[in-house]
Amino acid sequence: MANLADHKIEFWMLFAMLGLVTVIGFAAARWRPPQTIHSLEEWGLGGRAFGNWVTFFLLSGDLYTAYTFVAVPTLVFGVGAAGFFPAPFLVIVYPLFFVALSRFWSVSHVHGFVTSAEFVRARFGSRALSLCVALTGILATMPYIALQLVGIESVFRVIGLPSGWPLAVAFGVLAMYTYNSGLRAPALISIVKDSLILWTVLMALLVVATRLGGWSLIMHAAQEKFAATPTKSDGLLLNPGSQLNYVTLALGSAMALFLYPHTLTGVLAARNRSTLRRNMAAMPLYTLTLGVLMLVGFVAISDGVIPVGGDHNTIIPRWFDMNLPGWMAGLAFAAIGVGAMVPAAIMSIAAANLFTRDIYREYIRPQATAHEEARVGKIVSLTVKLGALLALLALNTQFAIDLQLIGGVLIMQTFPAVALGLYTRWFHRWALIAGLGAGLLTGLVMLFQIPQYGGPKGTTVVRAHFGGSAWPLSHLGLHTTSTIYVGIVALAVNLVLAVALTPVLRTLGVPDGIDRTARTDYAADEGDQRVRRMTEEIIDGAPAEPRLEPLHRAGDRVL
Amino acid sequence: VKASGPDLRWPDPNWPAPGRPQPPARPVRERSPDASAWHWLLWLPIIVPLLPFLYNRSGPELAGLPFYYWGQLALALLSAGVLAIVHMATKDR
Repeated sequence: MANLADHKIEFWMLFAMLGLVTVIGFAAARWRPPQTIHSLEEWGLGGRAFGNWVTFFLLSGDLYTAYTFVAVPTLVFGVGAAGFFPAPFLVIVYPLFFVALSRFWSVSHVHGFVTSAEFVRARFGSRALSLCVALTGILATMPYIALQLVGIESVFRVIGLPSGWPLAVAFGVLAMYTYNSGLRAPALISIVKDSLILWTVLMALLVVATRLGGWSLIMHAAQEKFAATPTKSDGLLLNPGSQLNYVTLALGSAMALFLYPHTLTGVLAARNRSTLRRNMAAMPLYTLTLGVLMLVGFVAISDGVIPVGGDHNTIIPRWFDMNLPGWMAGLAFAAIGVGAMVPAAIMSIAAANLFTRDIYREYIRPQATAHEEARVGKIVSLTVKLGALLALLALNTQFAIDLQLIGGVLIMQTFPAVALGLYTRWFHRWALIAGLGAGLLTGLVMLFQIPQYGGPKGTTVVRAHFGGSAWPLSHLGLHTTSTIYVGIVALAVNLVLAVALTPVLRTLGVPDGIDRTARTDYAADEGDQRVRRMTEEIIDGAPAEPRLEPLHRAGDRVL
Repeated sequence: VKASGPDLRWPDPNWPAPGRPQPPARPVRERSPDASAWHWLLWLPIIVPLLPFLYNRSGPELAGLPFYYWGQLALALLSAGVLAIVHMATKDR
């Protein structure tokens, strides 16, 4: 079935597109050339200068990853309604982004922050908390990069390429142009990605629309498939027992996406607040493209798609392979392939920024120059990608998926410090650290308790641990079949501890950190008179005196 | 006037830092400078997708697609619409 000789056209189409993207990736370094690309703000944030269109492409290319396009329809194929959670998740996330991330953008613009950990250090005056946030971010991002490789691999499998070296070549090229051009590369490439995705979605709609019977026949076939399985967790509608998990998973995923370093990197590259807010209003429309691809999961059921080599992630590429002529299927494959490269590049840059600003510059070489920062960032981005590749080739895909599952729960635990920190400095720094630790531990223990079921009846335990993120409430002694998303429970533990410990620590007289941000920083915009960069002040150690004079002069326009 | 003992009030009135000399005579600002009543509207596209009883049904169908699916995708349009309105209303401040 998966035979390279039968997929020559698809292969060359994919090859041509990846070649085009490579050329664009290297050429991106010459796009709006800065005076020097040898600073982390140029290499790692594209000079903070992306306008409306570029920001739209960059963010959509960043948030809707290839793995999403491959794995979510696969989930719908497998369980039906419960797999549709990205629809509510990618709706509620934008109102949250709209308000909170514009505050994050402003405060980072004023102080020259490149990462969320830098913000936390300035807000709560705690290097330890900042280090925890940075490490959590890096740990959560690495398996996410590996999953982008899983996305590319699914396409290679359908075409009939061997696993191993083709993946290494594709990723090696990606690593080189990211090294060379920084965030400018994925920004330009994302234009190609979005065009390919849009084309693919339109083709999928066309295939279904011209088919006899339309959606009712397709949904009927899906209904029959789910009715035939003994497990009760699938179906065309949510079962009462899975509603809580559906909602908490959507909410938790939205919070996690907010906190993932690659999201924040994309956001900080925007030129001004207005650009960011306008894009947040447009972004929900992109959810519709994912929606169409999720529905393709049902079409694949009615077409009786058989995954290539037992790898369920090949269902979507295989469906395109069966239903589209060679060159069009090649474009769809390229959409997934290029779609993997954009987020993988941004994620590796985000991880590199975190390492450089919050570990290297903070703990290893505080006197590092801008040039040196950029060099370290580049090398770390290479290392991170190499690590992801080796992890995937040497270990296995399931391992990467497990780690990503854990990563989502981990990154959620930075919510109090990063997201609530945008609104209040009430929390005590050590209470936040304790909450973060407790949340991480709770999340890990709960995930460890969840087995994965499989087998013909769906009741055999295939793996004893890390089998999913839906935690049965019966663990608490409740007589219910309901499940809940692990991340939400872990975050609740985290928050309760942070709230409870804060007054205790203050009573004990444990000193608070000094907040170096001012209230007006959170509403500052590009070209603002009040805005001055305080990067050096913050990173080169504490200034002797806290800033006391108001940041705005009389008569200044206050936002 | 501060009472004796640690100050546990929330939100912390000793902005920007407790126990430090306060900035001289700065107008007390209760609300954040980017606050807006329009932001209340944003709760709509946050709350509605989190209420499955609203959309966990098969009818009315749209071109054979159960309400569960097209209804949730329509929420993306709602979200975009609400965000566009709030953006237009707040951008000129």
